[in-house]
Amino acid sequence: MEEIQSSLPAPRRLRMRRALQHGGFIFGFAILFVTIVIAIFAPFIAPHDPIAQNLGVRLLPPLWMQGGRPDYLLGTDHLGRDYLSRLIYGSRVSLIVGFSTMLIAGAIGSALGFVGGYYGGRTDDIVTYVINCRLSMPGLLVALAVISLVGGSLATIILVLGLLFWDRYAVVVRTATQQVRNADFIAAARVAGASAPWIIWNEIRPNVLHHILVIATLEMAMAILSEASLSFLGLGIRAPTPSWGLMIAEGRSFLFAKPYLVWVPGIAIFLLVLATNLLGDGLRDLSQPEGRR
Amino acid sequence: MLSFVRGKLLVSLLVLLTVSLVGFALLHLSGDLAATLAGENASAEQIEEIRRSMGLDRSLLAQYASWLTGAARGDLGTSFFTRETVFSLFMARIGTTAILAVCALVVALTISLPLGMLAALRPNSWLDRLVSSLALSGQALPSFFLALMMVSIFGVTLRWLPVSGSSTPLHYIMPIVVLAVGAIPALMRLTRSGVMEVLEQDYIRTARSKGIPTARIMLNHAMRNAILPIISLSAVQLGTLLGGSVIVESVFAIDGIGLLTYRSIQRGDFPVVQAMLMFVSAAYIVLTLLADILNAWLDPRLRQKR
Repeated sequence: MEEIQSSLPAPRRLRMRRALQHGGFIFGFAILFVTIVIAIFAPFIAPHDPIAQNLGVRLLPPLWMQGGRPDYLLGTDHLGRDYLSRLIYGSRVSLIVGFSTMLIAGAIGSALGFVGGYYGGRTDDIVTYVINCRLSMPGLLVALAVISLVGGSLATIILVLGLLFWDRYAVVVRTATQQVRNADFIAAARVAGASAPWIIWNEIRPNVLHHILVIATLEMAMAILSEASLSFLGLGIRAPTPSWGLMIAEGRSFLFAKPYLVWVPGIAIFLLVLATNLLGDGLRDLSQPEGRR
Repeated sequence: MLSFVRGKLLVSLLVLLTVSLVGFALLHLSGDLAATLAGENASAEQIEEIRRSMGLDRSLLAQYASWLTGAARGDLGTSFFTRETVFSLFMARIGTTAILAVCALVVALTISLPLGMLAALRPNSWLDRLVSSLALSGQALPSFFLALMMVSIFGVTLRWLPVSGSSTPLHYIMPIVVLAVGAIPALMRLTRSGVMEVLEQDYIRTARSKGIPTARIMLNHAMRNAILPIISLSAVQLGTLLGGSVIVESVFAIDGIGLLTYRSIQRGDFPVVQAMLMFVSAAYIVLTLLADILNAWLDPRLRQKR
């Protein structure tokens, strides 16, 4: 629906060309795409079993350092597990948590935002109050406490993060809904007898979708960072499942002698989060005809 | 102005009450505290005994009511493990964490305000692109990874800074930098967009056409108006920094309330965790309230809005 907002009707090809000229967008898209492919085809790409221990090859350095071996490109960890394979499988955890959290939080936050923004008045007061209460709670701290009691697993992490980090969706969707609520085509639909849920879904949702998409990518980056932090603190993904945050926690004891055990997964987290944020920023720039803000 | 403050105060109090109830319920419903405390090898009778002695066998509402009446009198309970009062545990450590958070915010503001302003003056210049790249990179760096990287470079390889503990001021440098890096991206972006927006206004063009130097326009006109959202965000960031102290303090082994909370979470010391949740929420609520009042005082237009 961006076409309506820009002064010129932007055909798909024009939009494609603008996207291709946006360096950050391309970079972010490329890295995220490659990571997704790696995560899906992990069993075919990974040279070794990510949890198979081989104590004969403990703490091998990466190939480019002295003592590195070509069959262990990134070396091995303290249990002799292939670091590259663990890195490849670790991308699965990050992406699953990122996408699933995005869906749960996006659904909750957008629903609240639509309801508050469309109905206004007393309903909106309640929605605003709920958002305020959520914002006042320290998200990561609550997640830590709850997960320590429930027990860390992929499912609990996704659920807890999804139920916590919906606030930005709610804030943005609420404001965006307020802006289109009084448009003529909404009034026309109302006069024609359309119900409020129908109007929200068919008239308002398409018009605020690009806002939701931007927030979704930025929040996906947040979720990936949160999972890494939880796993690093020992309250997230349980060993021996490979998660990048957990790999850093395990490599931490060897920080003095083998710093690459921390650097490798750390750079992986950094690149994936950077790419996701770049994609979000790119989407925002591309949905605004006047360009970068 | 007085009725504005009174209204805000009432809502803040209500939010605080709701948050305490939600936090309390979350901690109680997420798992069996008595079983967590008893350990893995405890018998059913031992668990029941702990449940009774801790008062965990009462209804959730009764427990919350007694917690709330205690909290109102400043009594936050006693730690399940050290048997000290939660209040004294907190008081012994709050100074350390407050120093970390405030210093980090000051560092973050001294870096992000000038850089954000310069970027706004020359949109799409090399400086603007550099500022944006810095913000993006800072956002993507997990704080624990940055902390370990700094330990590895400045602590181990260069041996410039001590890597853990809090005995000398030097011990605080790396934790403050790590916390500040977490706060800089949002502050820098907000300064940039806020100043850019103000610079497009007519009165800035008038000031420029009168030949007033750019530096004075920036400080007297642009920043005066762009500062309001920055004050609000700083208040939010200070609350975030207190929460973020859990990770940073545990990496650098600094004995503040962050590390206390992390250890309490690990061993199921519920009264301490509940107190920390409440403390960070209360800090957030009070800080944003102060920011709202300060903003309304600086900008009378805001007082009209509910």
